[in-house]
Amino acid sequence: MPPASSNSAPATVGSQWLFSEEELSQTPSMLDGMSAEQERENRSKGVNFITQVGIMLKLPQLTLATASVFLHRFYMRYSMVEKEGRPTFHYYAIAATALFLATKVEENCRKMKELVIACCRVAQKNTNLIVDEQAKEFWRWKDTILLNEEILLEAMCFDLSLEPPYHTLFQFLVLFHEQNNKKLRNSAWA
Amino acid sequence: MKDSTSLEKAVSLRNQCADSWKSNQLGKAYGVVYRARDRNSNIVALKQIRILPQERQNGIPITAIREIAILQSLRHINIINILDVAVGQGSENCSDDGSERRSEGRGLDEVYMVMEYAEQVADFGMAREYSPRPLTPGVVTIWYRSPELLLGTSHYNPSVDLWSAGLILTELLLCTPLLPGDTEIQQLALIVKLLGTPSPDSIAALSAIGCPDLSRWRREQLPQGRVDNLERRFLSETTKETVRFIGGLLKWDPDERWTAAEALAKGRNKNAGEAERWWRESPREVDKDLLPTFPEIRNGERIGGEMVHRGTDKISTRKGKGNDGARSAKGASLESYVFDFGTDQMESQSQRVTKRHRIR
Repeated sequence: MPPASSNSAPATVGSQWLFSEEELSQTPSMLDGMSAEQERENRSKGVNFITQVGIMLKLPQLTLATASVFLHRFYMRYSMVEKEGRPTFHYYAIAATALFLATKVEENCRKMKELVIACCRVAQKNTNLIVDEQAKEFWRWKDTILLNEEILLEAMCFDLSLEPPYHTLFQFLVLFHEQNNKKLRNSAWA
Repeated sequence: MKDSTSLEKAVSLRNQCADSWKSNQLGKAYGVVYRARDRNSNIVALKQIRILPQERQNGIPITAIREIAILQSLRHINIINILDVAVGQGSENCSDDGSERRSEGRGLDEVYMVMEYAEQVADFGMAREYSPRPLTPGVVTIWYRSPELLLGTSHYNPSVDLWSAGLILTELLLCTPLLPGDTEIQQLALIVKLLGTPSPDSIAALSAIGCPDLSRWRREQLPQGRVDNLERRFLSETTKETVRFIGGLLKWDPDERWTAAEALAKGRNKNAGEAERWWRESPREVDKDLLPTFPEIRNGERIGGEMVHRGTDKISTRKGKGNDGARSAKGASLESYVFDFGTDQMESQSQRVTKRHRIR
């Protein structure tokens, strides 16, 4: 008989991304003096940016979720506080980079140009903004994304395979016999 | 902490094994593979993925991301274990192409994958997760390419790998590649010579998948009335069950081809039953540890000397492998393990990869 498959998921995967309450209150940004509320707000702004750009690019929810997880993981390793003598990682910049990487990981590639234009439009809150490829803004976004991609990958230890939360969520809904509760389902999903 | 040290690690790995660094290149394709020693003196394999400046408009190539993600998600005794990924730093500023990128803080141009050093499937350079969407037809070394790929379909599925597996099995039996074609047309001709003219049903199946080159090939190249020579070719080499097994994998129609599960005798259908007979036949499979080991033979090439460009003399070296192992192993390293990245295969793959990038 052929050998039995030993395809069990390694126990260590994911563990470096599970944080204790204490670790969560000592994120790099908080250690730099940012309040927990402020950091949470900035993170949510970043995720919101991902969502808006993602919708504009017609990306699936799963890709947006992956990008959001990348963003959260990044800020467990890097601070968003601006300080002299080190590069700054603005949440919009990391959001754009996380989304760029997520489109590759989840196989929903978009052209760099499309992504950059969507980023410009969302950042300027103008969905019909005409973006010139020669414009400074275009180049700034593109350079930011390319530069940060490497830093993001390194910060995440190239740990790219995520288990999306939606399956677990669905199992919980089934467990509590709430799978047909549309309202609960939708609010939990988003 | 894994994260903060990955860069240092790559550098220190490189420094630590400075003497063996250059001399222990194992394979060279999309990235160079090195044999190296880590801090704990374990032998590891380092695969370097170089990111070419012209590929950089789209950041880290998706093929590299796929390879890392797929290797990380797979854990199997027969698949190499990826231990770490590290980034190396090239020149501080590699923006020689001013029109493409104007500023570049640092030029990351190397990614190292640190892997176990063992005889396992290691190259996932062309791998991607299967999904039923159009895929690039130009994949797989031509010798191992299935008919539907040769006929240009972009709607293929994992059955293309079973075709390749069947051919590798024949290669193990013959100690030489069975169908070493140079072009798609020649490759198809070799297949016809082996399996005979495909039946009308098979042709219909291939046409249903959508093979753009099928009708022209039928019109201009396909000889009629050729018979299936598989059994004749292999019955002198092996058992009837083996021939049946190979025949199950080498089917014109991808849907008729055995699935991986069937080939492993899992399931209850007819194919799985036939496969099971093969697995039960003597000699039975043995544990990997009970297999004899051999001195390292790597295409007759000296290991430990200067980097030799391998894979130039494909067929003759492959034959040499079977003939006189001892002589070609002269100057082989002390290690008794072979770390074969299938250079021949990788080289043609690397060409494809570049091609794909150009298309994009």
